[in-house]
Amino acid sequence: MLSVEGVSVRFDGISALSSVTLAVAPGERLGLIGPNGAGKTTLLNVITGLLRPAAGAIRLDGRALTGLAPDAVARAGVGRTFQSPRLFTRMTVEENARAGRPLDAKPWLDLVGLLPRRDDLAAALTPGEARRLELARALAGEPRLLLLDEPCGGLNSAETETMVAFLERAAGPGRITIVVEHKLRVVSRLCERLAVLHLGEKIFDGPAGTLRADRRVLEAYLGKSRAS
Amino acid sequence: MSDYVVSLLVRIGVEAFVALSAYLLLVIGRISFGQQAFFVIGGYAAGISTALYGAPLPIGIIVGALAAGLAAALFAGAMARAGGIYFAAGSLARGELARVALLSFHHQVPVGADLTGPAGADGFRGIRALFTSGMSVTAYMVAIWGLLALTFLAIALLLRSRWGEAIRMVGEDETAAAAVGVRVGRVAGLTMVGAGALAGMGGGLFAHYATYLEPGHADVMLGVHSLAYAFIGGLGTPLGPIIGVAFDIGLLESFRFLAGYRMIIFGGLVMALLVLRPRGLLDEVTVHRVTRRLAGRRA
Amino acid sequence: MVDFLQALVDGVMLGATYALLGLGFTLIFGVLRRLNLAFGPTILVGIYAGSHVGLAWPGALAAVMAVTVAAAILAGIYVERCSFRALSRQAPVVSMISTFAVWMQLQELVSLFAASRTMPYPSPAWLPAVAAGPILLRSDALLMWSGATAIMLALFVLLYRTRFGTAVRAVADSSEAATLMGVNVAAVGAAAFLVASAVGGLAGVLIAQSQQQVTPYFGLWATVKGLTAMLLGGAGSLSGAVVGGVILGVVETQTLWHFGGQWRDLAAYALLFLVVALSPRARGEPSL
Repeated sequence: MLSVEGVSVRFDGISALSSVTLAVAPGERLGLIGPNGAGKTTLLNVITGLLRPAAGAIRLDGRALTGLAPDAVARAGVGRTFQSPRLFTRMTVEENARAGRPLDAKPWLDLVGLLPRRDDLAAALTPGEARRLELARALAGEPRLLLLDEPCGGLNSAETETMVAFLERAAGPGRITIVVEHKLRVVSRLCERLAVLHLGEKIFDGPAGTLRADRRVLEAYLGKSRAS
Repeated sequence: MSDYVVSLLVRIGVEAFVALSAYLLLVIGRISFGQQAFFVIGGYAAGISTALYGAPLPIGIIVGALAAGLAAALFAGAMARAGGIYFAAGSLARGELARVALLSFHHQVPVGADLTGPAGADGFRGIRALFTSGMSVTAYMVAIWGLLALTFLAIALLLRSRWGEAIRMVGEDETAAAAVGVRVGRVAGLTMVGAGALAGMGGGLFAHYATYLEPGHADVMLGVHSLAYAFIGGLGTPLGPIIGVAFDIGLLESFRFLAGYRMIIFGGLVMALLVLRPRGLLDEVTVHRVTRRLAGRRA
Repeated sequence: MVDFLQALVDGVMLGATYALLGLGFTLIFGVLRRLNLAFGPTILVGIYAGSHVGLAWPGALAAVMAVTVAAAILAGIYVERCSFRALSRQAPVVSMISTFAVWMQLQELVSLFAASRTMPYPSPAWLPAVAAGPILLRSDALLMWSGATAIMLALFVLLYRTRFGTAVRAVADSSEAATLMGVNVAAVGAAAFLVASAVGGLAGVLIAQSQQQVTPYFGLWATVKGLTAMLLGGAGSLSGAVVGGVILGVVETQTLWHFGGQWRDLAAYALLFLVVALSPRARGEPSL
């Protein structure tokens, strides 16, 4: 169980997240959407310890993550990918997936279809392959909580299809997944439940099917006048 | 082997330790202009233990390495998480601090009929353990190179290992490394300690060859050269900095007609390489290609 | 108390030149976001050139000064071309490493042409010392302080009252935003580099006339002073660099008065080290 309780973040006095509360159950996949600057990546950065919240608490299975350093958060069972992939470009594909941990990376590379390229340098990968390798790196740690920041960002439609297929296979038993994504088409295929952030506030949280009927979401996406 | 060749090989061997020290920091993405501090700390500590307290030569070298490692640990405590220009500026300050501090470091004790020990700006004379041990300079040179070969092997194996992966990850992207659970501060700090000990070992080896050390041996140009060697030879393998040293001391310095222009040529070469091959001749891509080809041939 | 005041006054006067060096550093760092460690050695080239003129034509003070500044600017252009323009697409720290390679070259260059390791530098020695109560104001120190203050004022007018200054500050604030506003970032960077080199050359004149001699070690000395002043002032702030320079000067003279000469450099390097170790910005700086 991931619980985000009243988390607020401020940058130089400007509020980036205000009192966001969110609970995600084991095995659940939550899609996190919202316009640019809504605070989606900020929320992931707070959960992973890269940012310290001004207020609020984050717990994973009852254990407090708030105040832990990023590496301690990772060891507590949180895996993530980044908005633009952050690979170790001077290391091989297999080294990237293993990433200094005592594990065999091959099954994970196989899962994302990169096993034949395991001895190549990560710098040689296409953007689509880079996203898949980053996914494999996050999965190899068998995280309890998996945070995916725009896993299909910058991919063409064929690459997006492959990625969605890998993501569907990637769910572990009891794993909590949060997918930040721009493409509603992608996110609604992956997630039964959606949360919408707008200007740092959570304005919607519910089944994907009810999203289009929500008045506040329409206002946020289409502007006030057209919604009314 | 002529005395000149032996002395050249000793100097290349000694300097290679400092170059490997700067290289290890480059692997964790830190630029140090101050490894010369650990070189002199190691040299002074080794010299004090043999010349003043009668320790055997190998023990002296170990004491030097340990002292330098300890000094590096103190430094790492303050700077383990600093990066970029801050780490570089801190290392520059550290190097000069060591030099200036040695200018007023006096610790002389009577040994036989004379006073021996560090005497401030006059330096530290009479580090004679090598020559009283009866070891020939050629044998000492061979020992230095043996030690260097072992060190090279140890670093190469370390960097290929699981811990080496973590070290290289810290060097490329600390945020991404932390995101998979790498203890960035600890990895960086331990690497700094190891790098300090290596430079200190070089200092101890040099002190016993030269029988003499002075604060001037902590000149900033020693640190800068050590850093530059890796950028010439390449950052993809610990062989890179050693090649850089051999090129500079073995080639540039031994051509007499280059006297007076050596730094101009050396500096120009580093500048050109930074534009053309920013990570040196044997960079990661080249090393990867070569190892792959070798592995392919074996298969 | 008089000792303390005398050291304080001496420190402020000395610190004014450190402030100039810090401003030169800040100008380059603020606009290019890259560190020019060869800043000291470019000034070294200027002072050596000036020293040669002073030896050849004793008394031609104006010529000495002009040649010092001109040579520093020339060396600055060389640094800008080799270590900044040629490396503009690479990580900022690559430029920093390259400036150290240029440093080696410049230092060897001056020793190639130097008649001796220590070169003399002319000083307007006819100026009298001024006594203000119990405090003695040495003429060379007064000249250093007034010269540095005048240059600083001119620099602040240039940066805050001209179009060029506005462009420089816009780039320093955000080079992306400045590009969108139509500022030619590369040109502004090169121009800021020129201005910084000229300021460095002038600072070199003031310092060298006070010390009346120069050794190749001056390059490292000036780089460390400027770097310390800039980092003390918060890396990028112009007024911060001035304050940082004065603090450094006062710390040095107070240590000199109360503890003796050998502690002065130790205190200066310890100050730089502390500033770096305690800086909140140091953590997680981008690496190579």
